[in-house]
Amino acid sequence: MCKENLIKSDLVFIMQNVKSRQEILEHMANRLMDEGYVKESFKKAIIEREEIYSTGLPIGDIGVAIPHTDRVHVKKSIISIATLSHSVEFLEMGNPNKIVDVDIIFMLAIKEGDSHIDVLTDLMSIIQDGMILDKISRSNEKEVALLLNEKLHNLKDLRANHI
Amino acid sequence: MRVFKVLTVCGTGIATSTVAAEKCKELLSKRGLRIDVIECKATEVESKVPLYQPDVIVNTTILGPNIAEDVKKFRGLPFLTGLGMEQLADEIADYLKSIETK
Repeated sequence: MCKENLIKSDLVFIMQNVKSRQEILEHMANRLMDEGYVKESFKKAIIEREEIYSTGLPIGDIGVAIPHTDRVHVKKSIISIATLSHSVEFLEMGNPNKIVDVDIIFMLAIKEGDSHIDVLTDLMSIIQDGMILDKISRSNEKEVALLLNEKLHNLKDLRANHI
Repeated sequence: MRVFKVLTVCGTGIATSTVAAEKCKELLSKRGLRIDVIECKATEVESKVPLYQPDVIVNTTILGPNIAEDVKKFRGLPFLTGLGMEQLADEIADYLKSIETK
Protein backbone atom coordinates (compact mmCIF):
# COMPACT_ATOMS: atom_id res chain seq x y z
CA MET A 1 0.00 0.00 0.00
CA CYS A 2 1.31 3.43 -0.84
CA LYS A 3 2.40 5.11 2.35
CA GLU A 4 3.52 8.37 0.87
CA ASN A 5 2.80 11.44 2.93
CA LEU A 6 0.55 13.96 1.23
CA ILE A 7 1.62 16.78 3.52
CA LYS A 8 5.23 17.96 3.67
CA SER A 9 6.26 20.41 6.36
CA ASP A 10 8.10 22.67 3.92
CA LEU A 11 4.80 23.23 2.14
CA VAL A 12 3.00 24.15 5.34
CA PHE A 13 2.89 27.89 5.90
CA ILE A 14 2.19 29.15 9.38
CA MET A 15 0.78 32.53 10.40
CA GLN A 16 0.84 34.02 6.93
CA ASN A 17 0.13 37.73 6.84
CA VAL A 18 -1.71 38.47 3.59
CA LYS A 19 -4.26 41.00 2.45
CA SER A 20 -6.32 38.93 0.06
CA ARG A 21 -7.11 35.42 -1.04
CA GLN A 22 -5.38 36.11 -4.34
CA GLU A 23 -2.17 36.86 -2.46
CA ILE A 24 -2.13 33.65 -0.44
CA LEU A 25 -3.24 31.50 -3.37
CA GLU A 26 -0.42 32.96 -5.48
CA HIS A 27 2.14 32.41 -2.76
CA MET A 28 1.13 28.80 -2.21
CA ALA A 29 0.91 28.06 -5.95
CA ASN A 30 4.35 29.60 -6.55
CA ARG A 31 5.90 27.40 -3.88
CA LEU A 32 4.20 24.28 -5.27
CA MET A 33 5.60 25.15 -8.68
CA ASP A 34 9.09 25.82 -7.27
CA GLU A 35 9.10 22.43 -5.60
CA GLY A 36 7.98 20.67 -8.78
CA TYR A 37 4.50 19.57 -7.74
CA VAL A 38 2.50 21.58 -10.24
CA LYS A 39 2.86 23.06 -13.71
CA GLU A 40 3.08 26.77 -14.47
CA SER A 41 -0.55 26.73 -15.56
CA PHE A 42 -1.67 25.74 -12.05
CA LYS A 43 -1.47 29.21 -10.49
CA LYS A 44 -3.76 30.95 -12.95
CA ALA A 45 -6.12 27.97 -13.05
CA ILE A 46 -6.56 27.76 -9.30
CA ILE A 47 -7.15 31.49 -8.87
CA GLU A 48 -9.62 31.60 -11.73
CA ARG A 49 -11.44 28.53 -10.51
CA GLU A 50 -11.83 30.02 -7.05
CA GLU A 51 -13.62 32.99 -8.57
CA ILE A 52 -16.11 30.77 -10.39
CA TYR A 53 -16.47 27.81 -8.02
CA SER A 54 -15.64 29.19 -4.61
CA THR A 55 -14.38 26.82 -1.92
CA GLY A 56 -14.94 28.61 1.38
CA LEU A 57 -16.35 26.35 4.10
CA PRO A 58 -17.53 27.74 7.42
CA ILE A 59 -16.78 25.19 10.13
CA GLY A 60 -18.21 26.75 13.26
CA ASP A 61 -15.91 29.60 14.31
CA ILE A 62 -13.12 28.68 11.93
CA GLY A 63 -13.26 29.38 8.21
CA VAL A 64 -11.58 26.92 5.89
CA ALA A 65 -10.96 26.96 2.14
CA ILE A 66 -10.10 24.00 -0.08
CA PRO A 67 -8.90 25.57 -3.35
CA HIS A 68 -8.14 23.13 -6.14
CA THR A 69 -8.24 22.88 -9.91
CA ASP A 70 -8.15 20.28 -12.68
CA ARG A 71 -5.55 17.57 -12.23
CA VAL A 72 -4.12 18.28 -15.66
CA HIS A 73 -2.14 21.08 -13.96
CA VAL A 74 -0.69 18.76 -11.32
CA LYS A 75 2.57 16.84 -11.63
CA LYS A 76 2.71 15.19 -8.21
CA SER A 77 0.03 14.95 -5.54
CA ILE A 78 0.35 17.13 -2.47
CA ILE A 79 -1.76 19.04 0.00
CA SER A 80 -0.31 22.41 0.97
CA ILE A 81 -1.61 24.12 4.07
CA ALA A 82 -1.56 27.72 5.22
CA THR A 83 -2.72 29.22 8.48
CA LEU A 84 -3.32 32.95 8.43
CA SER A 85 -2.42 35.54 11.05
CA HIS A 86 -5.68 37.27 10.25
CA SER A 87 -8.49 35.90 8.18
CA VAL A 88 -9.07 36.77 4.54
CA GLU A 89 -12.32 36.66 2.64
CA PHE A 90 -13.27 33.72 0.48
CA LEU A 91 -16.72 33.04 -0.85
CA GLU A 92 -18.77 30.11 0.35
CA MET A 93 -18.82 26.94 -1.71
CA GLY A 94 -22.04 26.82 -3.72
CA ASN A 95 -23.09 30.25 -2.47
CA PRO A 96 -20.93 33.10 -3.73
CA ASN A 97 -23.18 35.68 -2.08
CA LYS A 98 -21.85 34.64 1.28
CA ILE A 99 -18.44 35.61 2.60
CA VAL A 100 -16.40 33.21 4.66
CA ASP A 101 -13.58 34.61 6.79
CA VAL A 102 -10.93 31.99 6.19
CA ASP A 103 -8.22 31.14 8.70
CA ILE A 104 -6.88 27.89 7.27
CA ILE A 105 -6.34 26.96 3.64
CA PHE A 106 -5.89 23.44 2.31
CA MET A 107 -4.64 23.75 -1.26
CA LEU A 108 -5.27 20.42 -2.98
CA ALA A 109 -3.08 19.32 -5.86
CA ILE A 110 -4.20 15.77 -6.51
CA LYS A 111 -3.07 13.84 -9.53
CA GLU A 112 -4.54 10.36 -9.22
CA GLY A 113 -7.90 9.40 -10.61
CA ASP A 114 -9.63 7.11 -8.15
CA SER A 115 -7.78 7.58 -4.91
CA HIS A 116 -8.41 11.29 -4.92
CA ILE A 117 -11.98 10.70 -3.87
CA ASP A 118 -10.74 8.79 -0.83
CA VAL A 119 -8.30 11.59 -0.02
CA LEU A 120 -10.98 14.21 -0.30
CA THR A 121 -13.45 12.22 1.79
CA ASP A 122 -10.80 11.66 4.47
CA LEU A 123 -9.76 15.29 4.42
CA MET A 124 -13.39 16.35 4.77
CA SER A 125 -13.86 14.27 7.88
CA ILE A 126 -10.68 15.78 9.32
CA ILE A 127 -11.76 19.31 8.42
CA GLN A 128 -15.18 18.82 10.01
CA ASP A 129 -13.46 18.30 13.35
CA GLY A 130 -13.25 21.73 14.96
CA MET A 131 -10.76 20.42 17.53
CA ILE A 132 -8.29 19.40 14.85
CA LEU A 133 -8.67 22.75 13.12
CA ASP A 134 -8.01 24.50 16.38
CA LYS A 135 -4.91 22.39 16.93
CA ILE A 136 -3.65 23.16 13.43
CA SER A 137 -4.04 26.88 14.01
CA ARG A 138 -1.80 26.62 17.06
CA SER A 139 0.88 24.29 15.67
CA ASN A 140 4.12 24.76 13.78
CA GLU A 141 4.90 23.38 10.34
CA LYS A 142 6.27 20.04 11.44
CA GLU A 143 3.46 19.46 13.94
CA VAL A 144 0.80 20.18 11.32
CA ALA A 145 2.41 17.80 8.82
CA LEU A 146 2.78 15.08 11.45
CA LEU A 147 -0.76 15.42 12.75
CA LEU A 148 -2.45 15.39 9.36
CA ASN A 149 -0.35 12.68 7.78
CA GLU A 150 -1.07 10.47 10.78
CA LYS A 151 -4.80 11.15 10.57
CA LEU A 152 -4.88 10.49 6.84
CA HIS A 153 -2.97 7.23 7.20
CA ASN A 154 -5.27 6.09 10.01
CA LEU A 155 -8.35 6.75 7.91
CA LYS A 156 -6.79 4.98 4.95
CA ASP A 157 -5.99 1.93 7.11
CA LEU A 158 -9.52 1.91 8.53
CA ARG A 159 -10.90 1.81 5.04
CA ALA A 160 -8.53 -0.93 3.95
CA ASN A 161 -9.48 -3.08 6.93
CA HIS A 162 -13.15 -2.78 6.15
CA ILE A 163 -12.82 -4.34 2.73
CA MET B 1 -40.48 0.62 -2.36
CA ARG B 2 -39.43 3.07 -4.97
CA VAL B 3 -35.78 3.80 -5.63
CA PHE B 4 -35.20 7.55 -5.67
CA LYS B 5 -32.65 9.08 -7.99
CA VAL B 6 -30.30 11.75 -6.70
CA LEU B 7 -27.94 13.76 -8.85
CA THR B 8 -25.05 15.44 -7.01
CA VAL B 9 -23.29 18.30 -8.73
CA CYS B 10 -19.95 19.98 -8.10
CA GLY B 11 -17.64 22.47 -9.79
CA THR B 12 -14.54 21.10 -11.43
CA GLY B 13 -11.37 19.49 -10.20
CA ILE B 14 -11.75 17.17 -7.28
CA ALA B 15 -15.36 16.04 -7.31
CA THR B 16 -16.86 17.29 -4.07
CA SER B 17 -20.02 15.85 -5.61
CA THR B 18 -18.75 12.35 -4.90
CA VAL B 19 -18.14 13.16 -1.25
CA ALA B 20 -21.63 14.63 -1.04
CA ALA B 21 -23.05 11.63 -2.90
CA GLU B 22 -21.64 9.11 -0.44
CA LYS B 23 -22.83 11.10 2.55
CA CYS B 24 -26.24 11.62 1.02
CA LYS B 25 -26.67 7.91 0.27
CA GLU B 26 -25.60 6.95 3.78
CA LEU B 27 -27.91 9.39 5.54
CA LEU B 28 -30.93 8.78 3.33
CA SER B 29 -30.54 5.01 3.63
CA LYS B 30 -30.57 5.42 7.40
CA ARG B 31 -33.92 7.13 6.99
CA GLY B 32 -35.31 4.11 5.22
CA LEU B 33 -35.07 5.33 1.66
CA ARG B 34 -33.70 3.43 -1.32
CA ILE B 35 -31.39 5.74 -3.19
CA ASP B 36 -29.47 5.68 -6.42
CA VAL B 37 -26.91 8.46 -6.78
CA ILE B 38 -24.93 9.69 -9.73
CA GLU B 39 -22.55 12.64 -9.80
CA CYS B 40 -21.57 15.15 -12.40
CA LYS B 41 -19.96 18.54 -12.89
CA ALA B 42 -21.96 21.74 -13.20
CA THR B 43 -21.16 21.88 -16.93
CA GLU B 44 -22.70 18.43 -17.45
CA VAL B 45 -26.01 18.93 -15.65
CA GLU B 46 -28.08 19.95 -18.63
CA SER B 47 -27.13 16.86 -20.59
CA LYS B 48 -27.40 14.47 -17.62
CA VAL B 49 -30.83 15.53 -16.37
CA PRO B 50 -32.96 14.41 -19.34
CA LEU B 51 -31.11 11.08 -19.47
CA TYR B 52 -31.07 10.27 -15.76
CA GLN B 53 -34.24 12.09 -14.74
CA PRO B 54 -33.28 12.62 -11.10
CA ASP B 55 -35.87 13.18 -8.40
CA VAL B 56 -33.63 15.73 -6.72
CA ILE B 57 -30.38 17.56 -7.34
CA VAL B 58 -27.91 18.14 -4.53
CA ASN B 59 -25.41 20.77 -5.58
CA THR B 60 -22.17 21.89 -3.91
CA THR B 61 -21.73 24.58 -6.51
CA ILE B 62 -23.87 27.31 -7.98
CA LEU B 63 -26.31 26.29 -10.67
CA GLY B 64 -27.79 28.94 -12.95
CA PRO B 65 -31.49 29.69 -12.46
CA ASN B 66 -32.42 28.16 -15.80
CA ILE B 67 -30.66 24.87 -15.21
CA ALA B 68 -32.99 21.90 -14.66
CA GLU B 69 -35.82 24.17 -13.59
CA ASP B 70 -38.26 21.34 -12.98
CA VAL B 71 -36.04 19.47 -10.54
CA LYS B 72 -36.01 20.25 -6.83
CA LYS B 73 -32.58 21.34 -5.67
CA PHE B 74 -30.87 21.22 -2.29
CA ARG B 75 -27.60 22.93 -1.45
CA GLY B 76 -25.18 20.19 -0.49
CA LEU B 77 -22.72 22.20 1.59
CA PRO B 78 -23.75 20.54 4.89
CA PHE B 79 -22.66 17.16 3.49
CA LEU B 80 -19.18 18.60 3.10
CA THR B 81 -18.85 20.59 6.30
CA GLY B 82 -20.80 18.16 8.46
CA LEU B 83 -22.68 21.07 9.99
CA GLY B 84 -26.44 20.70 9.56
CA MET B 85 -26.15 17.49 7.56
CA GLU B 86 -28.72 15.54 9.59
CA GLN B 87 -31.17 18.38 9.11
CA LEU B 88 -30.49 18.51 5.39
CA ALA B 89 -30.96 14.76 5.15
CA ASP B 90 -34.31 15.13 6.96
CA GLU B 91 -35.40 17.80 4.50
CA ILE B 92 -34.45 15.73 1.47
CA ALA B 93 -36.06 12.61 2.94
CA ASP B 94 -39.29 14.48 3.66
CA TYR B 95 -39.39 15.84 0.13
CA LEU B 96 -38.76 12.45 -1.45
CA LYS B 97 -41.43 10.79 0.69
CA SER B 98 -43.86 13.51 -0.36
CA ILE B 99 -43.37 12.75 -4.05
CA GLU B 100 -43.42 8.97 -3.63
CA THR B 101 -47.12 8.71 -4.32
CA LYS B 102 -46.92 10.73 -7.51
